[in-house]
Amino acid sequence: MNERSRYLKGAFVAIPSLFMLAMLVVPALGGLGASFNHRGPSLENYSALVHDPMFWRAALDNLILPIASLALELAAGLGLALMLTARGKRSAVVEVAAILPFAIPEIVILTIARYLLMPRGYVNGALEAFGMHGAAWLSPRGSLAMLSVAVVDAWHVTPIVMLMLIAGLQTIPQELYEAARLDGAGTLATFRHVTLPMLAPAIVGATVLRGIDALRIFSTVLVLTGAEAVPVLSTYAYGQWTDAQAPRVAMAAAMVLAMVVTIFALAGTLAVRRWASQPGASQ
Amino acid sequence: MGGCRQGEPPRVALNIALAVFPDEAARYARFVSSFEAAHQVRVNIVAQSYGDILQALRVQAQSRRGSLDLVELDLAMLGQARSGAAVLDDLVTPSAHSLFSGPAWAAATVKHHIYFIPHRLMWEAMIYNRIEVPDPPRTWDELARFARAHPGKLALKAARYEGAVCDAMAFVWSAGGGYCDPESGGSLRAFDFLRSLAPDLNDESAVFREMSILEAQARGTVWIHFNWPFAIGYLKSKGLAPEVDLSAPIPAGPAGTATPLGGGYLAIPVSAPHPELAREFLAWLLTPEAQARLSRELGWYGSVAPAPGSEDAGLYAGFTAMRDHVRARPAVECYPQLSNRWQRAIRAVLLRGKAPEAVLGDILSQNSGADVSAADTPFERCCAGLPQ
Amino acid sequence: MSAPVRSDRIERPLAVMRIALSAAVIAAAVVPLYLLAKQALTPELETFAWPPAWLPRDLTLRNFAAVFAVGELRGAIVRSLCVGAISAAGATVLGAMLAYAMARGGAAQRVGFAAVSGVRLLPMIAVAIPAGIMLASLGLYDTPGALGLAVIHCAIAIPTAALTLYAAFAAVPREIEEAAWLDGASPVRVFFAIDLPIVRGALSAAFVLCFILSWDEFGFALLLQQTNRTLPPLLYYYTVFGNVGPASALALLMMIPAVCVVIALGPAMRTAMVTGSSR
Repeated sequence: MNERSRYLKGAFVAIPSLFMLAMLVVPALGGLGASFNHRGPSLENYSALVHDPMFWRAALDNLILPIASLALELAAGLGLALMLTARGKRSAVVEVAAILPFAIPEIVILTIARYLLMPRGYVNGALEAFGMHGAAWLSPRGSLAMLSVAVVDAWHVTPIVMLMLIAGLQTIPQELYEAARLDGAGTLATFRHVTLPMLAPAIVGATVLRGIDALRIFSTVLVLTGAEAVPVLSTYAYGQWTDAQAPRVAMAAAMVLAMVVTIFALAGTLAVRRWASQPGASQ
Repeated sequence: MGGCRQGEPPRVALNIALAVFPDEAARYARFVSSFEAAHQVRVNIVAQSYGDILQALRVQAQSRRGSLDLVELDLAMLGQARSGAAVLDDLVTPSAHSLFSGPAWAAATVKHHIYFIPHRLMWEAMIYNRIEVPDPPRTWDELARFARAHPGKLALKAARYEGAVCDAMAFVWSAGGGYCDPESGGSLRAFDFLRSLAPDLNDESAVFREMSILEAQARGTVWIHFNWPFAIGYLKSKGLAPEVDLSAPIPAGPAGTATPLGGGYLAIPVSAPHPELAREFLAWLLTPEAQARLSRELGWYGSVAPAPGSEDAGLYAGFTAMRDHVRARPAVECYPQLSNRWQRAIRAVLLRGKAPEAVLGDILSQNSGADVSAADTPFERCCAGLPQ
Repeated sequence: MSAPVRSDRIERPLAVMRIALSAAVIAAAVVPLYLLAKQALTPELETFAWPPAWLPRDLTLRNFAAVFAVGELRGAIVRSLCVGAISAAGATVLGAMLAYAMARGGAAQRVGFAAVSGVRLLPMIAVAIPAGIMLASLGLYDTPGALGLAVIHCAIAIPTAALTLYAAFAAVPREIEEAAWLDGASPVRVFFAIDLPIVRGALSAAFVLCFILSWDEFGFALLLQQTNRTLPPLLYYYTVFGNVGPASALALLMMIPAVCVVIALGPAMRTAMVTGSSR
């Protein structure tokens, strides 16, 4: 019986894994090979990247943007999580409203955001109605566009971070709060000495998971600003594929992105493991 | 899965990919209804951008399988698309030939065979806001004065794509320069002028493409830009032309005025599912009646000019004035390389304030590191159509 | 022992902050949706006006009519539904298999987690371009039935399904399984007859999640279906081609499935979203 169930387990792992391998990993490896091919094995495609100032901008933006977006997501997600788990009645309305940005398809959120942030969009319209000057939220000149993209990206994804942190908050035993109250700690002190340390693993986990996604940002930038205002590696690769008709250079850029994501994921996994092994973290 | 296929019609369907707006697609569908009735077929229209259509064509040609029977391609892509397109010599009878001008057919001919049928010929004109700019600029000086007086209200399509080359070439040709001649005096003069305009251009020029710049014009963010005749159609459908926006000739430079020839050409992919039906469709299109109807019902200004005195004549006045100043870009297979180099140069001058001389020299230089490798064709060789 | 005075001074501003935050969250959800609806239901000329009109002046269904007049829309809706259903079904099945094996621990768990995590790392652009070439050689690129896209969506949804089902399978008591084994049932029979019925709820949750993932997916759809499009690239085309009214109308239509799901299904669904979401 054990043997047959072992075969079953093996098959049940192998079949889906092989399917994912064939559909996703094999093409990616093919892309990796193509990136080193320019009429024979060569580094031409990567050299083309190195000589393109737009590529370096894309690489830089691809690091700054996820950091900004992550910071916003974590702050907002934490705030929302704390608010929704506070003592007092839980409002279903607020819960649904908090989740809504995630439920709506990303392209719809981006469409809305575009009409909000364009030079004669609703945000500037509201500002001018109050007598202030509108700002160039998506202008290629200046760094406001990066902030706008980070905010919109964070807006779409904050509900997930919030849910992750709510799950983390719910694992904190009540006794710790009781003990803190008995010790005379105020709200802020409780937060700093009880909530935050206990929540640390969840925060680290959320950072790693959402960070991986933030590095791969694509549609947000494409729809909001166009590929040239806030270039990131994925839109750069897309531009090489469609506009420049240079598929191998596109693959090279995509591989650079894949490498960045892999490095971050490895670092993140190590960080998670270190945090998880700390005493008192997994109660 | 069977349920997913039930949506498809029982009749034979001809699939055409066109670069049209959604409402144009609806009007085109009505235009082809007579063909549908006469041949008992369904015509499916897919609206996409030229770049995506070229992509689909290339993949279809490579895999020898596909769903598209007819594709519309931009003039600048004909060189690259030729290998995926079928020969159409037999369709171009003398009467069909007379429908379009010599240069239009020349662009469609490669090695004495015709691969493409002109669908709508276009060239650029200036689109301006008649309320904010009652007197549109007619010369470079007037244009520069407008830009300085109204910073941010003049915009160019300077995203990293072919449209930037179209806008810039109008200036290059207007100064006596040439596409294959970046180091000529005319090209230098044009780029000097562009650099002088740069500080006053709308910020979003760096990302503007035909549609986004048009939307900005519609919203009043931009008062002057350069675009193709469908801009008028779009503005008219929003109720903005002729009430707010009109067309005018492109401002004249030291060597007169000029505008790039562009436009859609239809091709039959080599792996089309219904090639015979596609040929019948093209034969149906290549009649004076169909062309007149096309121009009338879709408002496509191109092969047939609007009747003088009509409302359309007023709307398209700028385009009519540019008709005799149309110039073509090289139709060679290595065109993307040429275009990429020009795009770099244009963006360097407009967005980063680089010196025109250096930037134009880079176009020709092999070692500029401008995204091409030593193994790629030298600029002049490619431009002359010589084998790589 | 009375409560310290210090905490009283924090409590009231905190309560105020809480109310303000709730209001902000609700506004951030409602106001953009209202504006989208207004754009969809008013003529475009009104939308292009400046300063913007905050209340609709002229209600019309012209934008919806324009969206439906384009022959592509019907095809796009059917395609999105089919791709969603097929990929969700496939991902649920394969994900269930994977989750079951992973829940039993041992090497299977490690391999399973590695596969799931590894796949989630791949950037869309790195996979989509070569996958398009691969699908083209199989005749599955840009087809009317969008089978190629469905297969890819299935593959990227498997991690979602597996992670959603992992906890459910892990919670199935071993004793029930062992009892069935002792009765002589084969492991396959045990899986189908015992485990699957127990995790029924999680199975539907996984299916719904994967469907939404496919319905919303933009990147692969943009690159793999150029002329036979699903809804997200079609909306992108409308938006970028400056058709505000029809774009807004289409956006509203696209929201319906996901929003219904979120509101109708309870907190359990929302928690399930935590584990399974990815770009």
